Amino acid sequence: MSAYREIFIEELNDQMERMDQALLALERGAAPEVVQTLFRAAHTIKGSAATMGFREMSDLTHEVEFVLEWIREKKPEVTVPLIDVLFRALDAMKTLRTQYVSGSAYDDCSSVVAALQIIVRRPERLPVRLPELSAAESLRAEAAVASGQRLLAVLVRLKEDCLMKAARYFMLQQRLEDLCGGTVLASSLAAAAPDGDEEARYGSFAFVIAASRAADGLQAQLAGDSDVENAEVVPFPLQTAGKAEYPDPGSAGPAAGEQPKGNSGQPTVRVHVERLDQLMNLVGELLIDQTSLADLHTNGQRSDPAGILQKIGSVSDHMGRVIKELQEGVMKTRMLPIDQLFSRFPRLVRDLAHKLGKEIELVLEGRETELDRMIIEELGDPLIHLIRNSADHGIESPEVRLEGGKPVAGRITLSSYHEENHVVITLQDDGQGIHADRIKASATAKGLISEEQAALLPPEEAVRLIFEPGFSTAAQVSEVSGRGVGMDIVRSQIGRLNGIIDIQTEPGQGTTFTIRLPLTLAIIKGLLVKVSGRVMILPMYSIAEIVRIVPGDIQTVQGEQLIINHGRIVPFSWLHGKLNYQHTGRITRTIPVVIIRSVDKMAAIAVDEIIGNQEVVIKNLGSYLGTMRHLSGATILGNGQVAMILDASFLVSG
Amino acid sequence: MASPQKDQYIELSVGAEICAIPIGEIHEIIKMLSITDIPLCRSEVKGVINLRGKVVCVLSLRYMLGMSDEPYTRESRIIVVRYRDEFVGLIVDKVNKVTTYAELHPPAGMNIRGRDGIFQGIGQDGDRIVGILKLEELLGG
Repeated sequence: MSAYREIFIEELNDQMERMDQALLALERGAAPEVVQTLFRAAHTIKGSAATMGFREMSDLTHEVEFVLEWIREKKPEVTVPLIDVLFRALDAMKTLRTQYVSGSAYDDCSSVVAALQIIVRRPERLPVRLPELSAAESLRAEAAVASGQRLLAVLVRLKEDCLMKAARYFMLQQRLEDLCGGTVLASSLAAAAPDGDEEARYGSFAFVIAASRAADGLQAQLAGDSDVENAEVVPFPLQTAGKAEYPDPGSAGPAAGEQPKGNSGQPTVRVHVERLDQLMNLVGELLIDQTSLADLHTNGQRSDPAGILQKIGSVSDHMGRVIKELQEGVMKTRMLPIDQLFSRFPRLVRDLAHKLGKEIELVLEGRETELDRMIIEELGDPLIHLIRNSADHGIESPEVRLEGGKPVAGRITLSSYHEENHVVITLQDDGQGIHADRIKASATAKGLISEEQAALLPPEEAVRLIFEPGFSTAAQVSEVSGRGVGMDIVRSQIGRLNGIIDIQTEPGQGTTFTIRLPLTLAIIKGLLVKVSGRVMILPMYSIAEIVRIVPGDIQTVQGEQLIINHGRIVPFSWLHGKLNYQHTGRITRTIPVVIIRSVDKMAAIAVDEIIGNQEVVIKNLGSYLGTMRHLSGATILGNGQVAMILDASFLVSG
Repeated sequence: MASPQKDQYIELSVGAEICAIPIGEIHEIIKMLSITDIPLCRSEVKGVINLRGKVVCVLSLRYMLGMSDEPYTRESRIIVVRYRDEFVGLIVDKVNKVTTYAELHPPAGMNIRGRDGIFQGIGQDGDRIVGILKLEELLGG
């Protein structure tokens, strides 16, 4: 049964992801086919949820299906409230999914269901959105619920010929409070008419009320009012009060499309059948090799030993090649297109833009770039944090942008591409940038650097101070990004993936964050060398060349040792010196030297002995040691010993 | 401050001192393995070991308690404890026994440099008293 459960959850995740994207497309005015896509996804979910006996989900999707069918048939104007209700339904589905996985009690979805029903049955009744609770109002709502009150949403539409609508609005609010012995927490009016008639906005409105009395007769009582065209009373669940609609990515809430960690047992992997077939073929080849080895063993006694050795050699060669391909193939099953991560962000940016009252366009580039799935999972939180920052602090309000001669809509560009053995992810916004002076002032005020240091610090260095622990931008804390997670956390999250993050900013022009990550955390090709009796590993991708020099080749200029390599001057150093070890190697006539290249720097590093190269599995050194900038990790050698993997940028550092 | 359910502790020796660690915090106790040193690293870190395919960092408890290092003996052990979601090994001179304490006392006000707060209490069994290590403080500090 649990196997079906996992397949079901996988499918659910897939379909909901699809719906998320389709809804965003629909909002942007996409073709009618999108509705069809949405409908299909909802239908699939409904079917499989019903099969699994997951009634809450199938009931909810049934209503969603109704609405979609109505959109398909009637082709109404796609309004923000309409999309909002559909998003609310999708969020409710995601919440149900999480609760299903964790086995906890299901939320009450009746208000979402009611909202969906209102659309289809009486489309004219949806001129008003349910109010969004501000942070303070949410707190009051929570307090009301805690004290045993119920939250209700009341939607009222006044008759067309009702006079003094605004007055009726205030009277009804008063009457509501009397009727259910509570207080109105928030209210919203219909969108302003094009002709700017303020009075018309009071034609329909919605209240959120904390009621202490049962609301059974409330709807009838309101509808009985001579000026009221119709009234609707639905429960208003607290979690839709802002939080669920704007999931808190700080905790990577399930509504953000995140697969809950540690869900039903083991995380599963989807692999393309073609890739599996390739792996099968390779295993087949290995079996053939094994048979030929066994054959050599049984029939080999009579033939000549030299011939057998030769055959064993060729079988071994073949096996080596197959194993290498097998390894690459298995590695590939760990790789995922980064779109898995990127596809979550359009929704995030949309919600952020709504909340902040800004217009933000998200451009995604290089979505097909493949990356280790573990890196992709770990990358979510820091990227969400950066996007929130860009949207909140980077992109200016529409008015400011207009004044500055920029397009009204801000643009955030998220792109990824391969570069050598790395994946580079850049997040670029065309916002206001960061003023180095303000960063300096803030850093000195917090005692991170002294006044003198600040004065000497070049602007591009000063901006990097935002990554320092303790540099909280308390002055600009806001509901969106001021959640107590600093940029230092982002840097350490990236660091844990062996990645680095950097920032370039141009005041008035925008800010770019650049993240460089290794393709995979698992395996690299390494050069094994000996230094002071220890085996150390240098990452092969950073090695330009291995040369042998005689001591006379080392020249000392201005106290610095260097050698000439292909006509270029390269700084020279001994590895044992860099690592603070005593030199115990024999003094040989020629010295093995590894030429290292990292980014734009080169270095010639002398070692005691070159052992050879091999693929090594990178193991983390653990969090106790903290950041070790000179090490990329450790590996376990064939003899069971641990060996350190040195970091390329450390090797070329002075 | 009597403990009703009598928690179990591992008693160990470092130099002349006897300490205890709550048994629940210990993952396993192993004999000395070959240790690979880490270049340019803090002094209490003796290096890393290969614990069945996991790279685990090992620390000298002697050093952390302010004693000088001694060569390892046949009785030296590595106590592997949980640290965050990983493991860390503590090198001790000797592991004595599993025990319980009749009475537990709050830690004595220690004013020796670097030892602030690393004991969570003192266990007493008859006239023997043993400092109980507070690992989160010892490893976190």
